[in-house]
Amino acid sequence: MTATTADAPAAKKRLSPRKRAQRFRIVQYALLGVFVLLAVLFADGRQLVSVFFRPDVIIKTIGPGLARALLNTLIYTIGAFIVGLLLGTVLALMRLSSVAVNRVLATVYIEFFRGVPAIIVFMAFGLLPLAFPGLSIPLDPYGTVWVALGLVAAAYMAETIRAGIQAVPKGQLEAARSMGMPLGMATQKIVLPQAFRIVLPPLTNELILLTKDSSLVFVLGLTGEAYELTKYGRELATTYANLTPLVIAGLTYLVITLPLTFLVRRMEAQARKAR
Amino acid sequence: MSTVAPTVPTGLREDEIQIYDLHKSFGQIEVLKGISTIIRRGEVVCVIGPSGSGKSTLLRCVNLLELPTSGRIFILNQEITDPDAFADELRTKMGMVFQQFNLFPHLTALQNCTVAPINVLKRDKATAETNALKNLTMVGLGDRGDAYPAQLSGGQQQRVAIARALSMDPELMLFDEPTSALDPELVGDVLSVMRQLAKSGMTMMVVTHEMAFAREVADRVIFMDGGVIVEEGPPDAVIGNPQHERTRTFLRRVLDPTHVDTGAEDDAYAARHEGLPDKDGDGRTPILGEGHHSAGLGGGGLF
Ligand SMILES: Nc1ncnc2c1ncn2[C@@H]1O[C@H](COP(=O)(O)OP(=O)(O)OP(=O)(O)O)[C@@H](O)[C@H]1O
Ligand SMILES: [Mg+2]
Repeated sequence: MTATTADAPAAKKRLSPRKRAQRFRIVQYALLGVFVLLAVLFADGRQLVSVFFRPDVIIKTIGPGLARALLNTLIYTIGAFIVGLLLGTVLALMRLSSVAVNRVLATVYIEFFRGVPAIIVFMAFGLLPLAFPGLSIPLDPYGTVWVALGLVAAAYMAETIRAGIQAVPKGQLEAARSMGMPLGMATQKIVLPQAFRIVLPPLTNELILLTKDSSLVFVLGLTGEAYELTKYGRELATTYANLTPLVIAGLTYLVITLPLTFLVRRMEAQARKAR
Repeated sequence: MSTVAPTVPTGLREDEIQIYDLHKSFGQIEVLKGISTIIRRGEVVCVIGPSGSGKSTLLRCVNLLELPTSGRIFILNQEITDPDAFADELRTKMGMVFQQFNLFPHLTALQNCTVAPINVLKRDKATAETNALKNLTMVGLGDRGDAYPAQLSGGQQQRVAIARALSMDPELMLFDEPTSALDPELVGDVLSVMRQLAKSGMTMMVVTHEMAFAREVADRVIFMDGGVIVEEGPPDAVIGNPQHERTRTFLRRVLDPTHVDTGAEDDAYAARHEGLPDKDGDGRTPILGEGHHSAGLGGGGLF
């Protein structure tokens, strides 16, 4: 406190943190104002609307086709999520296994699928029937999409789930084992339920990412009935030589992702409160 | 060592826990250096000793939560250290109560008490619940079956943990400092449950710092230090009239109400429990370092 009085003259020249923050805020608002002004001055509103929001195309885009595409996106995503969750859990347990072979296999799998672009995996997947003639994945095209997307999702989810399992205190497993539960039963009844509770928010985030990644499955060569949102938007955009359908398709993703984002926020807030 | 235990299995039915020349090392550090003792049916044995002396390790070896480095352990005359033993089956016959309770937070008190009987012993749900309720009532929590662990006090949680262990209808019970993580005013309830259990004839092996409890309830007290049994015998002998200097030093510390654990001791205690290397850099292992032998009172509640 005494030092402050001695430094008083110097302090006058320096801005207090609060004053600085205030100035910084003013600068940011000023910049935003300039950008809005430039946009209004230079952008041609009518041109913008006709490229991105053409009313007649909007009407043609929003229809049974869009609903179908939305449904497909949901089906692809949820199916892949389930495949990813199951395989991811197995991989996570393998990573934590006391058997070295399991750890190595899981690590190789995870690092491969996390390192290689998903779109390349899908392209390769689309060509699988060429490599293995006679190979047919059931429920085509859904089965193919679920497996392709799920294989990639599993790699990411495995790491999340592994972190969740490791976050469960060691005493939980010990208590379960001390009552004679074999390792598998203790894992299934005691450890995993707690681990999944811990990773529910990050897993929901994975679901959001997966929803968007489902747009990559177009490389699998889907037909009209199986179009998901992005493919549907692209097709119409080509038909009308206009970007509006893609904009609509893009906005439709928000119908799925925004509620999920909201859900994650709430779960995280709840977890904070519980702590 | 006041009693010399036999080195081969006795084969007597009353000898519920038989430990022969048990050694346990963690890496380079030998924590148990040849423990031998026999605990008979209905006997209540309290294990006391300074922090880091290997009491928890001994208890955890008995139900194979830690794999012994060498030595043999027989539970109900079946060798649990035999590689061919069905350890899980033997574990169903021993209840264990932990310092940190380790209740399953995602299950209610009642479910905590039924999950193992239903899944391990394959009892039907109704039978398991009746038995669980009987045990919850025994520990004074018959009306809290629907509560989740987070809704219970530490003392209540520990009593649920005891009820959970009892719900397996074990032949013997292991307790690892069951009251060390509790606020002082909650200790009494847990101890009285244990007292009741001892009276009912349960075989009990109890690691504790509660000397009054040990004196009152134990049939035998084992004093451990540096990984060996220094002294064992009736409580009046070991606690009332200790023969060894190490026992006397330890008891003076624990029983002296003016003794306050210093921060340094707490740090050493915490470091040991987290399995961290000794930080004082004297190159000696924590269990051998003089001045690290805190009584560990007040060292609970680490998590
Ligand atoms: N998993 C482990 N890995 C490495 N060292 C360990 C492990 N468990 C225990 N130890 C070490 O073994 C020694 C004895 O530990 P133990 O927990 O058995 O002591 P204790 O007598 O129960 O002490 P306390 O009264 O503090 O509980 C300590 O030095 C500890 O650091
Ligand atoms: Mg201990």
